[in-house]
Amino acid sequence: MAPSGRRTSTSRLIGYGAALTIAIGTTAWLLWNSSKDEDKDMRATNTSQLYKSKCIIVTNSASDSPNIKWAKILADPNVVLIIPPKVEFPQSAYENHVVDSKDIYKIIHCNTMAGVWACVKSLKKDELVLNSNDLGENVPVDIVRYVKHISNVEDMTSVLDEVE
Amino acid sequence: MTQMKSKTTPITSDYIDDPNYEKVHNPIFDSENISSFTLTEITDHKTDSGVLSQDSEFEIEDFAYSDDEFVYDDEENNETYDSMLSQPIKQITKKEMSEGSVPNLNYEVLTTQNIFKNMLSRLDHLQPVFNIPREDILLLMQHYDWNEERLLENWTERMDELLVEIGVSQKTSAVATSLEKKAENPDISGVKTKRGIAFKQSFECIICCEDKDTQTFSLECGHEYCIDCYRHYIENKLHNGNVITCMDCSLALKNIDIDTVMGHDSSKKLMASSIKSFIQKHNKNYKWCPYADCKCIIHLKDTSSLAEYTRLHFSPFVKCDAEHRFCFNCGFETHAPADCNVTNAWVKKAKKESENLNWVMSHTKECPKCGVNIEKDGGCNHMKCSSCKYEFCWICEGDWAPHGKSFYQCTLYTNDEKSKKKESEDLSKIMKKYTFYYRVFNEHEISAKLDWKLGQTIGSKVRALQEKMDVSWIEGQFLTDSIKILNEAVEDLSELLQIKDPEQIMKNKLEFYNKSGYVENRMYALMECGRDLLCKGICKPTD
Amino acid sequence: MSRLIKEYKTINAQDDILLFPETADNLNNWTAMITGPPNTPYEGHDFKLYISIPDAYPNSPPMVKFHREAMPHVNVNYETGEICLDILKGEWSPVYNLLYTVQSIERLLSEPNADSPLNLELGILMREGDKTAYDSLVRYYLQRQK
Repeated sequence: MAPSGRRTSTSRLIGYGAALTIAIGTTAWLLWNSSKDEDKDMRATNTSQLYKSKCIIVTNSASDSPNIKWAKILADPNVVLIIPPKVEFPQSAYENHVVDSKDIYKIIHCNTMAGVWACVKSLKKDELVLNSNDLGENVPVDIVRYVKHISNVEDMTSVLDEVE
Repeated sequence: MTQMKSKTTPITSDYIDDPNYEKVHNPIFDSENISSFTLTEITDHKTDSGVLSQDSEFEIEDFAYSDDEFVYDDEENNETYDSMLSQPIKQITKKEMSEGSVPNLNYEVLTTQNIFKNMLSRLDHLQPVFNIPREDILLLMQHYDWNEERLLENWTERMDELLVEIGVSQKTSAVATSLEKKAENPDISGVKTKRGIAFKQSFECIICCEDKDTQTFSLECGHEYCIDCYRHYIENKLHNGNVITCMDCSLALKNIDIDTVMGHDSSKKLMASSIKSFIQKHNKNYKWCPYADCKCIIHLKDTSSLAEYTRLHFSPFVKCDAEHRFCFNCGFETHAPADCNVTNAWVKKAKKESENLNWVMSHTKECPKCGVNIEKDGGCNHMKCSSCKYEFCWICEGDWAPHGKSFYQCTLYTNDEKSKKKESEDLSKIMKKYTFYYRVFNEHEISAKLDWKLGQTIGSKVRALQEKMDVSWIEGQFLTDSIKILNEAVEDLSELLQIKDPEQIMKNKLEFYNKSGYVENRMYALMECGRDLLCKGICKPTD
Repeated sequence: MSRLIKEYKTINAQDDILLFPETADNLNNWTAMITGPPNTPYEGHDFKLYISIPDAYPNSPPMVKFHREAMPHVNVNYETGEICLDILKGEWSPVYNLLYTVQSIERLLSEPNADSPLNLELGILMREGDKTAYDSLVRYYLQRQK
């Protein structure tokens, strides 16, 4: 039989150990829980902006729309505009210096439709915004591999407002 | 308490107190050991056969029949049979091919040396046309991937340009490139340097930048480098199969120059690699034998019939000089009665499944003590590792001792195993089906190998017998014929072939013929049946 | 080795070349700066090249890379910076040197080769002949990095 003194010290050790484990466990649980709450909050506010970067194929209806503030849209570092062939990007935007000259590089002009899709594939933005009716062409099937989400919309104003 | 020792497979399951256990091989490991259906594994296959022949009591030379030993009335038969003894089973014969509705394949078996010789003889034909040294024509041919027609076309159009372009003759100094000037060679514009090796004192080579007394080499262009640098350079280029040019211009090194610099016949290597790249570029008509270390090349001049083969679910099997049979279409070993699609599907499946670790994940566990993979295919949870003898519970992976007598259910573990089981059920069903077919496949393969071994032994015995009996080859023909058919499918014919009394054998001659005819027909029927199933679309490769 | 020392001396003697070993005592790793050629979308940008010399040099070509995600070019893998250029592979000859290599890469910027694309999308743009799109996409990538 082991000496009694030794036994008490052993049991005390076990007691400390148990207390410590509980303490650590509780802390961990609390931390985990709070982080989970945080996650939820983040998600709630972000639902509208789930897709951070955007690639917008500008078509005539959008280009002419007075409701779309291109300068503001272009100020977003994660936005790229692709101008397909035969689409006039509002000259006024350049002339009146509405678009900041440092943002002009985000406007990519294409002479061919193949060029448009190659640009989309190269850029690999989260969201592709376009109006395929207006574009007069279907979205190539393999585009889904290069973007997370395709917003094919009749009225671009609805989608682009969210950028602001 | 029962206990199984593991034999070859690293995965074993030992079910203690369960005498009705069934040992199941893990297909993943089996596939590594046995299958010979992929190209890499053909090597194994080969070594296997080597081992087999060592096992038999006769030397392999004993049954390496040479063709002239056989006297056949029928040439077609000759084609059909002369290789059977040296081949494992699954094969379709040419005879069978000709019986079907597909045209016979007319192919030739070549080696790189053959091809090179053919090329050289073509050079002789071309020489009068070109009227330049044969060595130069060789360069032209190399450059044109041995495509005479294209070469001749270009030759008549622009002879001189071509000679410069390919580096047979030198550019005029007026068009010397800037790089040539950089060589700082005073000879470049005027006097032609002699082609060949020279000895120079304190030569500064611009490649290694070392100043030394050395041998140098240069072509007429005067770009001169030390022999060491030239050797390194040529060595690097020998395997590309392209014409080797001067390091600084397009002037070509002829075979003799290469041999001069390298000091031995390295140009052969270049020719071999050139022909290899030629075959690569003409891989519709030329195919390397897929067997490891086999240097044979099959040349099929007319590939138009291949489509017909595919359509009728035939396979264009060819045979190289080393008696290796393979499918000209897919490059696999002979795979009758399956066609290429079925074969491909099966090989793909086998590959996919052996890569599929899911099965291992859901059916095996590592021994908690020694880490060996343990497989459980049902029964009790009391496991005993065959490797380290550790006894543990399958469910909680804990030591068995505290489980006491409850062999079938772990009480130390909350029993949510059922839900887990359902998840893996679908997977295991698919796996079971695959495993079943894989095992069937393997067993057939093994028995094919064993039959071949048997055939070899019998073959050698019959040969010895024939010699002893002192019967002529023609008279004894039926024996050898029989063995060959035996190799295709072992039937009760083997009983006949085991008769020892020579007189008895001669008496039963008719029976030999009948039986071998029966076996032969049966084999063809089987092949045809398989093809029929494919043609009618009753059997289809899945996935 | 004497070859590299000689190249080092030659390069050092010229002062308009930005090609230098990473450290003076190690001639196996070099860096070079090339400037974007005029009348190309690369104009106004400088690019760093990382050169490592294999043991078999000059019988084997030097290994040259751009910085990763720094060079949008049809013959450059954008993610890795790897370059596809014939003289860096099969067409290498021992008479070429580091300077010639760097100059060839500089030339590649103004003469992209659509036949061996490492950047597939830019390759498509070149093949389609959409130079407008090619140039603006390249500009976009270059500008974005700033």
